[in-house]
Amino acid sequence: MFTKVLSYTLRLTILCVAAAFALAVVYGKTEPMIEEQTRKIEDQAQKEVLPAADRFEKVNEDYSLAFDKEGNPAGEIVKASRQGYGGQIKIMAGIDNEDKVVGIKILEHSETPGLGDGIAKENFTRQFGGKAAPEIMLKRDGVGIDAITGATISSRACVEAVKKGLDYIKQYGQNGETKVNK
Amino acid sequence: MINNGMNSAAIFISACLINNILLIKFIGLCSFFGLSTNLKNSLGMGVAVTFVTVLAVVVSWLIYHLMLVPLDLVFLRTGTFILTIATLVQLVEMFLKKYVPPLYHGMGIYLPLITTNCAILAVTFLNIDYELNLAKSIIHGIGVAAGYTLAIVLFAGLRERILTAPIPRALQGYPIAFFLASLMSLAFLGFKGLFGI
Amino acid sequence: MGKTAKPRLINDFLYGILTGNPVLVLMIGLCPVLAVSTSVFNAVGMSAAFAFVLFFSNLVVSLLRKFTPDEIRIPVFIIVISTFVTIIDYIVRAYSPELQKQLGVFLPLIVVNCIIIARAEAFAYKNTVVSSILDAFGTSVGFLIVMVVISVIREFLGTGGLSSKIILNKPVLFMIMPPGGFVTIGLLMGVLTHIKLKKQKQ
Repeated sequence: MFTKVLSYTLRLTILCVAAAFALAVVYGKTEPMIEEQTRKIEDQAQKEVLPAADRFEKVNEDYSLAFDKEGNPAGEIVKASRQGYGGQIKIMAGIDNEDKVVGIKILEHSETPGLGDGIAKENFTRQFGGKAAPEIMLKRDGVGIDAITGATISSRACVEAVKKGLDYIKQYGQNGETKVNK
Repeated sequence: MINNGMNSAAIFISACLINNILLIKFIGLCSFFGLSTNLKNSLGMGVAVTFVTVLAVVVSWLIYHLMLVPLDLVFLRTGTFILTIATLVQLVEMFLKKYVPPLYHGMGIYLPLITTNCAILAVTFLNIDYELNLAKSIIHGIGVAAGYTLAIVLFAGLRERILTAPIPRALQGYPIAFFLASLMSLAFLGFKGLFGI
Repeated sequence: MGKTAKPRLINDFLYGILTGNPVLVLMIGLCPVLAVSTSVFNAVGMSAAFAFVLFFSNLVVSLLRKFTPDEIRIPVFIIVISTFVTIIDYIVRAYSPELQKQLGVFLPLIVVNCIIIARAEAFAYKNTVVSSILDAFGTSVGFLIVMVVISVIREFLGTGGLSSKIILNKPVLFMIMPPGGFVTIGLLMGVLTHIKLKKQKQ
């Protein structure tokens, strides 16, 4: 009886060790690739929202500084999220040196397909280009962002996320004046 | 979806209704369709799943945060989680056999089947992905299990009812069950945006 | 299955596609079929990951069958399957982060996919390596066919086209939402049952 238990335990242990070893090998090989992919995607998104920039310097998880080829400051990248209709909407915004939005990109969202998910489409996001903080709001008196028909909540959440990002920059950003450490 | 910023009530409602594990997230369907022909079995399964889920959530969370992360063994997550659940189910089985035999015999084959219940494993994964702390993970687990129980009991009730209806031969059994599930899913979609969650 | 050696091997392969089609006949492994069939890209990606796990799981379980006493076969299956699931999880993350994002939690959930455990228990544990490999191929093809059929229907009707080639102007959004998934597979099963009944009558 006891030898049976011993035999079973031994076999299972051998199998577990072999499995863990195989996994460690695969993990070791793929982890650098995964990190590279994550970095590539982030880089691509950042270039998308701030095409003038060449290099980025991460300040923290949500905020990066951008520099052009000559090393001059080319603006900032900020990430922010707001609760939308179906879940958190996460955006990335590229801001130029004049505190104007250059472009935005929806990083994550769980909005309704066919309705709220329009916020990820170009027709919606391109509206943000060239606007400064006072103009980042849903359209009123001809100024602001046109919401998506039938998806006001998603549109508003997106707008507020961008506003949140801009506010963050104002408080903690460096634009020559105050340098506040977070 | 669910994140640490939400309060317990919001997590529970989101897990149970708005993102119902069976009807909205499509997780746990094997047992959903296989068991729901009998109302009593469905309720029993729901209770068992709830029990195992809470245990599994606690143990897996502890293993992940106290062992895998500090020792940089995150890649062992899948294996350790499923082994944890399998072990827990085995222990529950042994416990019931000794102390509550009628329940053990009533559940029969469905007890070991809980191990392959995608829903329980999914909850343990989601707790990590959503970066929930231990307390919120437990609430999440209870919410999901409650949603599972609710859906499977309602579904069993519906399936028992339609047995008296004139269903075309080709649609009898599974096809009509799927249509029923579709209607239930449609109804649960109506919970979206509830309480602004 | 078959009587002589050659037909038997072919049968091992065909079983998973027709008489033993996991989704349509045995009714197991439904979770990913419904959840991932919103686009053909996802469906094919999922089927590939599934095939990878099933192939290696059947292979290893079959190789280890002398090493595995009956009492510990379930833990052995679990360890083997979870190892390959973790491997494909990391491979997909490294080579196609987009696919990983689409499949989400269903990628690691392959470990409790009833099909893989069922094939390990019912077949790979009791058969030769060659037969087990063929069984894996056949079942994977059967799975792939179902996934593709359902996802083509859902993606085409739900988004108006396939892989962003939009054809329909008014897509039926219902199809890519959860209820649509249930209806599609229900209809598919109903049609197949109808065909089967008609054949029996003849």
